[in-house]
Amino acid sequence: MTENFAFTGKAREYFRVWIVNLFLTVVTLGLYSPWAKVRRKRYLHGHTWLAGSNFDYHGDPWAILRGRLVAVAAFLLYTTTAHFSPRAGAAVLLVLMPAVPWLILRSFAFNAANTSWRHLRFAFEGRYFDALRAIAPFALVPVATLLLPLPDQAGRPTARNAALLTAPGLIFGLAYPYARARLAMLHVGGSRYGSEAFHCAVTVRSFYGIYVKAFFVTFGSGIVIGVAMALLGMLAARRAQEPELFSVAIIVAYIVMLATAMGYTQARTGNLVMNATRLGGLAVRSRLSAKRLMRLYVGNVLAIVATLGLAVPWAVVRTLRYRAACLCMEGEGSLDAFAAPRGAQAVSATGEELGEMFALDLSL
Amino acid sequence: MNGLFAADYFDGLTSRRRAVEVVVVGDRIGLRGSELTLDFRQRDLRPRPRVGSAPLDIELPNGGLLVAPYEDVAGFIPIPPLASLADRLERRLAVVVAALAGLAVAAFLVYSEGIPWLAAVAADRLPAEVEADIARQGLAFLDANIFRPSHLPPGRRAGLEERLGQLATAEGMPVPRMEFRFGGFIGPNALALPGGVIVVTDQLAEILDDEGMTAVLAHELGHLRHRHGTRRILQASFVGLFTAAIFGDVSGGTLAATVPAAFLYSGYARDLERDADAFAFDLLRRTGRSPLLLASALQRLQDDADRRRSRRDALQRSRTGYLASHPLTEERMEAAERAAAR
Repeated sequence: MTENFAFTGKAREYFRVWIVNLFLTVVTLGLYSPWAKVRRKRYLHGHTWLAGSNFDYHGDPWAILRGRLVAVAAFLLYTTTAHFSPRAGAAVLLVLMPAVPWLILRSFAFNAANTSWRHLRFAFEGRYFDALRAIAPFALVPVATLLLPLPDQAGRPTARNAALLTAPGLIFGLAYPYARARLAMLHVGGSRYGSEAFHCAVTVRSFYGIYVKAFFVTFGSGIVIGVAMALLGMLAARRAQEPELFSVAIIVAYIVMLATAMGYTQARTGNLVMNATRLGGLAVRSRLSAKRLMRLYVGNVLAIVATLGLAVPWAVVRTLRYRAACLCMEGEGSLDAFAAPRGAQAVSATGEELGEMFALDLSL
Repeated sequence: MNGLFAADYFDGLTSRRRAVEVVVVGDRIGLRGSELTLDFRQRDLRPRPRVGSAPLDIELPNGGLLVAPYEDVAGFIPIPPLASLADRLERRLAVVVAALAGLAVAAFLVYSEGIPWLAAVAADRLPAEVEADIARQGLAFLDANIFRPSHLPPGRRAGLEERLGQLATAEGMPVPRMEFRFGGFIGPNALALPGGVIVVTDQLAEILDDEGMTAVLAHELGHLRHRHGTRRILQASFVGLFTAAIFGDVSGGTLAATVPAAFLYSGYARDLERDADAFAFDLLRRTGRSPLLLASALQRLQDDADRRRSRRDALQRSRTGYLASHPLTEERMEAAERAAAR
């Protein structure tokens, strides 16, 4: 059998949910935001269908509120120290490092435990060691920032200064595909639907292949877009006597470039991970086209910029519609035969909220 | 009310979907399917809040779930008003329009009043050592990337330092440290770094005489007096936090929000410049000078920029130097004239 996923949400309908809840969040000075989040997620889950049944989201707003308060406190501590002294910020990050694997596990667990399909919950269980192994190379970034000497005071653009300035970024870039691969394995491999475990067989090496190609795709498009936007910005700035137009053109070029990079890597890694995933007797199939996802994302960011953010619901809906249309389950098994596990536990939202605050983008 | 509708039933034990007919008789409700007969009291049912056009989920007292289109259920099973409050608001066009208008006003107030106010309050509570640290790091960065050592004669430097000392004393604030640098591509410029450091470039001191420099120094002193540097850093932080809170749920959304943020920063910067100008007009008058001093200093810088503009690339000129980081020269000159007329 083959069963396709489908997303039936509509931009106009989701816009209403989004704007009303955003407004309530703002007038309550953010206190309503957990309820808004639950409402949005329920809309998105509730309009995602598989085999005639839709998904649902069950996050408890009070649990999310508690998590958010902890996350805001931690974020303020980090940004203030990092803004005033990059070294102190790096030290704070290093201290927080051991908590990050735990945070990742909690975040996966909270989302899984609060997602249901056909009245059965998903679940996630992972080992601290596996999460630690996934992100351990990132610890080299703050270590490098702390240990490497500062560039010379009279720093001219020498090779030594250039190396010192780019070293942390380079380490991050080299560690990134490894971390994404390990996190994907951890996430999918640790997930269950009811009592049935997901299995995922991907290799770290295949992730490097994708990111190396993505680097060149981004680099190539970056040069073209960058030069075009710089020229355009220069012309506009000169004509309107408004130097800011030039900076805006550069920022737009930058986000368009990032959008293409994101579209490419998400399509390729999404296909890779999904096509290596099995649930019981069923296989997951994903046929995302990198070209289409890149176009989609570029359209999204441009529309969001042009509407000062009002196009966000439209962007979310069209992205989910495309992604769902590319996903299906197939195999000899049946979607009716999954059973509930014995005794499920409640999961606190703190990890999930901390993760969101620090922009740990853990989704596949 | 009595009735009959079709629904899906899930027992919560397996993922099997069972089609059932739901029979409502008085306050009882019955589920009828193949090999399945269940009866409940209506008041034991727990409908989940409705959202969009998704079907309605009704939790049953036996741990099962009943799923049916909202329109089919609505007439038969009472839905508690509180559970559907958010949904009712979202469906009302007037509420959506009001939310949109309210958000526009709220965003305007937060960005134009709230964030600057919050930044000013936070800046005043920041320990002095932290500010001094910002200045140290800022200057180290500029020295490494832009500045070169100054060639200004020691006599000229001492004269300018003395004038800065007079201004600070008249205002009753500690005398800031003065640093002289060759400005590189930032050209004729003056900067006030948080924590009490004023940097003056050689190019600026070469264009302006000591009186003109006094006007510029009074302006920079205004930045220090009102902690503008620290406030700008905090404003950037708060804008980031607020924007992330709004656009956090879409990939790339936070990124896209950097464009409006770029406009916001320059808007904040202009407000702070006006603020520093007002301070300078007042201080100049109190030390027996005219606010027009700042206007004529700006005029000289403008003339100098125009002279060089005719020689080299126009854009290159207009994007650097004191006038670029301190925009709206004409508006500022008019403000000086108004202040002098008072």
